[in-house]
Amino acid sequence: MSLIVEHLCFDIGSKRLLDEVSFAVNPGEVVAVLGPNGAGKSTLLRVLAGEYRHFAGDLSLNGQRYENWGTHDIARMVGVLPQHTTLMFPFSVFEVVLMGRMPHATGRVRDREIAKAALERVDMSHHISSSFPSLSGGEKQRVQLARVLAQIWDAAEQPRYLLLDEPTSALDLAHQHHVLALAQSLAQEGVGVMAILHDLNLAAQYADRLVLLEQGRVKTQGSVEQALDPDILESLFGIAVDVVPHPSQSWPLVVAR
Amino acid sequence: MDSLEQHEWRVKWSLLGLLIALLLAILTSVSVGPMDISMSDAYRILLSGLGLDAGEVERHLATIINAIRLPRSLLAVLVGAALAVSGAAIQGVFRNPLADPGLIGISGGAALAAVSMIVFGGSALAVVTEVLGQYALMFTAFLGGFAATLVVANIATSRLGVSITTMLLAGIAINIVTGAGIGIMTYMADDVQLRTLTFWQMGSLGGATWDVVLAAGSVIAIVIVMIPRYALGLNALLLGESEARHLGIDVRRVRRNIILLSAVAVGASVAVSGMIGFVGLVVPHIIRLALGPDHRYLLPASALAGALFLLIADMIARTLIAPAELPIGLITSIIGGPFFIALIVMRARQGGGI
Repeated sequence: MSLIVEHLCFDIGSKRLLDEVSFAVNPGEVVAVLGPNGAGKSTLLRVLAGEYRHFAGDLSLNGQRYENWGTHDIARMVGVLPQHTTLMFPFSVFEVVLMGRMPHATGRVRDREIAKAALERVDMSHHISSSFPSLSGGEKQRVQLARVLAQIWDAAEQPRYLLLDEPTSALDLAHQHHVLALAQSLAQEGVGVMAILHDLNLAAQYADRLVLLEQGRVKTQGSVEQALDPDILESLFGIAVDVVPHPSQSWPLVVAR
Repeated sequence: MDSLEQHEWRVKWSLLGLLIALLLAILTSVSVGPMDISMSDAYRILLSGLGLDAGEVERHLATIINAIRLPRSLLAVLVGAALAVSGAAIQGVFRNPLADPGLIGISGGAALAAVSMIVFGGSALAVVTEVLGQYALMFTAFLGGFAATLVVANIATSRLGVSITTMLLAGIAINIVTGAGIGIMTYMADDVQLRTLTFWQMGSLGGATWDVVLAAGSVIAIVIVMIPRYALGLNALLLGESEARHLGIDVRRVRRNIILLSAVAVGASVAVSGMIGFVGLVVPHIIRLALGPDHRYLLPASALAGALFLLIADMIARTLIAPAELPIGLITSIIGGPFFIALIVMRARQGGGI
């Protein structure tokens, strides 16, 4: 029962965006997907979120091929946190989080409990009746995270997955760590997390495994120590780096030379 | 009770208030006119029209209401509701509070077709007139709106899905073309046609008969019932297209059906009442300011408020320079334009969003 990708190929027009990609996201782990711009990270996330259906290869979600799941089924198992949202209409924070319950039929009382608990979890309860467009960028991202949490809240049925698309790009340092720490604690509760990240050090700190993409192909994947190899990183990003031990923690530190 | 529940109660009471206001406005509307009919007489006539025994009323008063005023009031209700609910839904689909059915060419296509019918109905398009009789104008306007929508939708659709930007640009282009087409028709029209055409473009509910009400009403009623079924999908769409899909919404289906339903409603409205501006833009906007953007409430509230607004505008159009009559499109634009400007200025001063 995992999210398994085997030999995934995906074209738009005559352009191959993903080429023979194979990896898996298992419940309970954080997988970080890294790579330069245009490597196909976001495309990969969109395919896994069920947005594009014309791919080749074997994709399975909790033991069933993707082709057998409808958009609605996928939405009950997979939550996606977008990079940023452009919601301009004055929904309240509570209404936005409640939208996360749309794929489920758990009734309005339960939905509201879950939405409140999700807001609690991202530390935004005090903003429950604020208008969403009036929030700061960081606060908006936390509310969106609460919405996605509400979407995959119920642990009862089957393994759930959280896909994060560069979740920290608009956030300050504290919020970056807050979001990824939350993702990590969700993984400990059995959620499979896949995060697209740009910051190699955030990946080193929070991910269990790394997948490095280059021009739609998997360049390398494995544990943090295996994947963060100076030679691989140099050929991937075109910039010389050193990988040194963290002064106070157990994970390595990547610095540009 | 938390803040959201309070909000929902307020919204539900507002919906009820709008419904009562609409019923009262219908009653007022049928009693106002060259022949003064008291509200209590009007009330009794309407009740007996519903098959209820309400006491004796003079027969000629009943005739005035049943044959002339009631169909006109009902047409105002139908057209107002259709324009406002389509406006609200189109704004949701385009995730833009300034969109309206005119923007993607629906109204333009309908208008060009209708104007062609007015000018060529007796000559080149005589066949259509013969086959469809009094429904010719309505049917062609409807087809025109529909065709324009299909053209715009096709231009905007590629293998990757629908591009909203392309769709708006295509809509602008279609509006330029239909505008030019209407210009050509105006140039070719004779004096009588020119007069019909000019008044038609300013909008009027003067053509209301029971036939028209039933024909347009059946089409519009279907749309008004169908559109709110997509309320949750429209809510999700406001988050973004991908976000809606990730919530399990079939975005393509929601968008296609909303655009088709709006084309049907607006085509039918334009056909029976000409060009009536601002209802589709202003009414949903006001409702959104008052009750919030949730489509589950926005759509029915817009329908009720649009009906109320057009009914009042029609009363003003009929009474302001009685016994003559102002085109209703002028009234809606004269009320709607400044009101809208005032809203924008107020919001901007408060530093609020949309």
